[in-house]
Amino acid sequence: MRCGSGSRLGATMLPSVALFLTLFSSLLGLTTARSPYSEHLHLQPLPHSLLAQFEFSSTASDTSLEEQNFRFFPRSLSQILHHAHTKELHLRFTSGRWDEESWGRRPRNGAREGGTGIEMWAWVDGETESVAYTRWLALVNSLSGLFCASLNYIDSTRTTMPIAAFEPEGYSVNGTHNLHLFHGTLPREVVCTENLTPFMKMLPCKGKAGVSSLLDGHKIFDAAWQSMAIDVRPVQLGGSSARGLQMEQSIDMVLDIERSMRPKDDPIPRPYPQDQMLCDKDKWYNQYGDSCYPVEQPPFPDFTLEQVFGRKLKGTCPLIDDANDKPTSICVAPAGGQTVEIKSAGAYKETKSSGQRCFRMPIDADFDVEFMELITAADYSPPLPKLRVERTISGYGQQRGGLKSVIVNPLDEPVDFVYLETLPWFMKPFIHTLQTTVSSSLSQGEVQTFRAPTREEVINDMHYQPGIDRQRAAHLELKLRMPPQTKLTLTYDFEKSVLRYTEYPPDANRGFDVAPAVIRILPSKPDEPSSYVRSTSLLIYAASPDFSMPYNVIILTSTVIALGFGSVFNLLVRRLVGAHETGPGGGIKERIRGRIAAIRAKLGAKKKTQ
Amino acid sequence: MEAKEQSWKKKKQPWFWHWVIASAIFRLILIYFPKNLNLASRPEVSTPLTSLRRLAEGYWLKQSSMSPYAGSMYHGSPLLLSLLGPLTVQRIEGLPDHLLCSLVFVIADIINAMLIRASGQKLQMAYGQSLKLLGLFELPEKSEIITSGDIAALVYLWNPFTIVACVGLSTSPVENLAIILSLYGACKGLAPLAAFGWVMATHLSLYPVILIIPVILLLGYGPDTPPRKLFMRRRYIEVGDNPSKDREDLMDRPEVPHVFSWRLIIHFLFWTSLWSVYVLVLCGVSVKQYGGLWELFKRTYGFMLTVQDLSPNIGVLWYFFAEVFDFFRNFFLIVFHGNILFMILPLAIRLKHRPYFLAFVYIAISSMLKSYPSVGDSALYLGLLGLFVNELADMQFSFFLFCGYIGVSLLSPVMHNLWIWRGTGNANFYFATAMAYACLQIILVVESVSAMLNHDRKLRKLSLPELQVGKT
Repeated sequence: MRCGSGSRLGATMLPSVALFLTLFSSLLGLTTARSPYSEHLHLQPLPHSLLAQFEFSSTASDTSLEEQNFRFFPRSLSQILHHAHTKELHLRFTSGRWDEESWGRRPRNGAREGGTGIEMWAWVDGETESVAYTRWLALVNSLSGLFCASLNYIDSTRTTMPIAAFEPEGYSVNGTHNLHLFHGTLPREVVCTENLTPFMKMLPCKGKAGVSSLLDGHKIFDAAWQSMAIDVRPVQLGGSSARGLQMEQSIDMVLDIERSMRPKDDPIPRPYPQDQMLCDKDKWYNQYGDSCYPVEQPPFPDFTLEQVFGRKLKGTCPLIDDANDKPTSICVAPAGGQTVEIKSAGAYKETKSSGQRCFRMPIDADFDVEFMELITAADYSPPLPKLRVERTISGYGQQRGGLKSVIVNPLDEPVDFVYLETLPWFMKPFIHTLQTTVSSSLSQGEVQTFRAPTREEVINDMHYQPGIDRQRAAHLELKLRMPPQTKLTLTYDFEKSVLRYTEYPPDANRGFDVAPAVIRILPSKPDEPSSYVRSTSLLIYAASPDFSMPYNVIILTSTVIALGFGSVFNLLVRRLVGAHETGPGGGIKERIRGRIAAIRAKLGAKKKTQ
Repeated sequence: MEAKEQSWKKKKQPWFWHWVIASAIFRLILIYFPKNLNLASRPEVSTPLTSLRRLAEGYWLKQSSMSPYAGSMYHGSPLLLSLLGPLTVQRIEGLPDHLLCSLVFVIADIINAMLIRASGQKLQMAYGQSLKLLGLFELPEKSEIITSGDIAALVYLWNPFTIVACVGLSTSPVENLAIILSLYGACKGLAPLAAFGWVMATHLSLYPVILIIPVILLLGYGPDTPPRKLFMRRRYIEVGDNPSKDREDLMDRPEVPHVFSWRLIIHFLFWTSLWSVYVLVLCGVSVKQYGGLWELFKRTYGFMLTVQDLSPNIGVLWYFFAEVFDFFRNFFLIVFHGNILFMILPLAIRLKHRPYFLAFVYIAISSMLKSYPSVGDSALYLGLLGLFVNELADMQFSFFLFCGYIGVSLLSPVMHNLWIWRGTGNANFYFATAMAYACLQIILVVESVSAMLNHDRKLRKLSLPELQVGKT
């Protein structure tokens, strides 16, 4: 996809936003002809780090899929989607945290990222909800095998059906399908190399050439933040009759430059030798030479792609049709004033647009980009995010707690958004205690005129589905409206329940992960796409029984209850008679003697009869 | 002599009422500090069934046109929801939340105490009468400083368990009210009231269903008496000894306990069916749009019987079912609930002449083995225990039990704190106190039953001295 071709957005807009909008305008204009495969890399230095956005897009028409003719679209995924009657699929593997304060607005407006762990949602066709749900389970289980992830753990307790938080991206024919949206999360899942390998296998060049040749598991999963996404959606190709499926694979990551540039054979961070250290000469004690006050590294250091990714960028994937107008491209958006040098033996084409330089890569030659050091970056300030969200658990102890979400609107316009929260069933929220507080984040003078909106003005709509023990997760969706420059605090209480000992995860004392809240910021204009913000995931510390005790507990409890039962019965069947009331000869000797006598008498009687 | 007794009683009355009013004021004072005490979230007070917080959540769900049973939050009766629900959302400025609910619980507690006292008076009167019939005049009067009804009422009101359950916003005072109402009605021979109480108690907390046996015995035979055999023998002896002219007098004596009053039982059964239909219709109307009665039963009684929620409480079942292997779960559910059922018949046979005491034993056993016990249940049977102070005067281990109850009620919050809040203890510590508590309750049941049987034996010895002599 060629970048910047449609971005006439003015200097204030950032390149990433420009990229995103171009991307979306072409996606939403669904009738445009598209190439069957394209790949793209977008690089943007951030303070001390590098944001790299990889994107691979492949399209196949319905007819070619029916004919089992797979060229770029992966056969495995297509067959799974067909089997599970899935029309649209979104799968996310995310780790780390996007640092809004130093990095600013999220890439692609958050639309291609997920919450920590694995997040997945799909529109499944089915006459009834239960039929669709069965297909969703089939989908989840097959994808679990395909991506080597614990997706099969997305069962009914982790599946919800959000109403307003997601919208289908793809082309849909009204009336012919009965689509159901399912959403599942696995916040505990650790995303790692075993998920990347199947992801790479789906690419036509499988990481041997093209921008995917930069992808290395060691670097991706060492990033401060990374998000792998797979999005499949139905599209309309060219004319109104031809339809097809488009798959977009993307990996966005923020690499810490210093960390990534550590040599492979010695990755352990060590202090620099004295002579290589940059010392602050202004400090008086530095003059003696034996002490050093280290100076902070420049925010935009000098680096090349090969140094950061540890691999060479090997030209273009040769499978790409050369006649195609969207070959492999790489776009660089250097920070203000930073110079970029290209190192390549092959021939490449360059297009410049506002704030970024795009390159058409050579077919069979290595390609490298060097970013020059930029020491004075005082004027660098990241663009403000549309919303900032922070979610925490209040209270301590393992019995109960409160959930607190702080949402900040830093912009000068009101924001409408949908807040989606999925809670595991063992976290029991008291939604009747839900409280909203809106306070102004303006300066002192302007606060005077601020009138806090009422709860009804803030919460426009609410959808709540309470959880059921061992069956269903609780799911809360709020449609909220925030005045400009305000801070909204949502709080409610919850209780944690004790689980059966088999229901605890292997490391029970670590606690349970709660999926991040998803915020969908509704566009102010109807044709704009919505953007997404996710909170971090939560860790709740729940009470756990002693796992070594099952036998002891069973035995002790049964003993106590049997004891009670036995002693009550003993009391009831015994006739209480005083010692003086019994007849003579109560002793054991007498009794035994009496028994023997009785037996003898019996025997005697028997002999007589014989 | 009777006039003297009357005046003595009158002198005593203000003293009793002072304590009753003091207990009410004490509760009201405690209600003013809900945040400091934080009783409403104690596991001893609020179980998933009795927690008012869950009721408020259920009411909120209902108000937002969802089924109150939609989540695993509320498992109580829909009638209680419509009764207490509106009170949970009422807020009065400057006063603590849930004040109106607390007032309802305080009133329920006072009514409970009054009903216990009234039934205690009835019990004592009837018992005195039957002792007179046996010719044991001296026995009832010897321990008459305070009547057992007054003792029971004050024990109920001033029991820390009752106070905590009342102030801690649990619905158990209301559940206890239904049980006590039923027993009171049965004691007084009021079949409609007994039927109403029993139906409501069963509807609210299921386990009182076993109280139908003591209630029927109470209605049929009247309040507690010494064993029936004694009367027969006594009469036989008296008739045999006396010359023939007195025989008719003896035969004409009012014989209360001997005839089983089928008329009252039929009344009771009629009223029971009437009230049950009434309650079912009311429930049906209130849950009509939320899946009907079957769903209601599944969410309330099904929840109680299958022990789904394993949040810690003072019983032993939560930890047991947290630890037990899954394939034994159903077996043990049947065993534990069967345990209550197996005890019913033998106890009923042995204690059929003392139906009120039988009711006490049933309540004690079910509050030990029920799935979600709270201190409110213990408060009820400890209050009822006060009714039998005269009969159980010779009970063994009573001091040990008293100390045990105090020890457990002090240790259990400490262990819970160590486990849940400090993280220095673990579940086993808390469970140990729960086990100790279960043991104490078993000892209480066993010792009280044994003391009662001994008491009967003593009566037999006293009333039939001739028989004893003849035997030895």
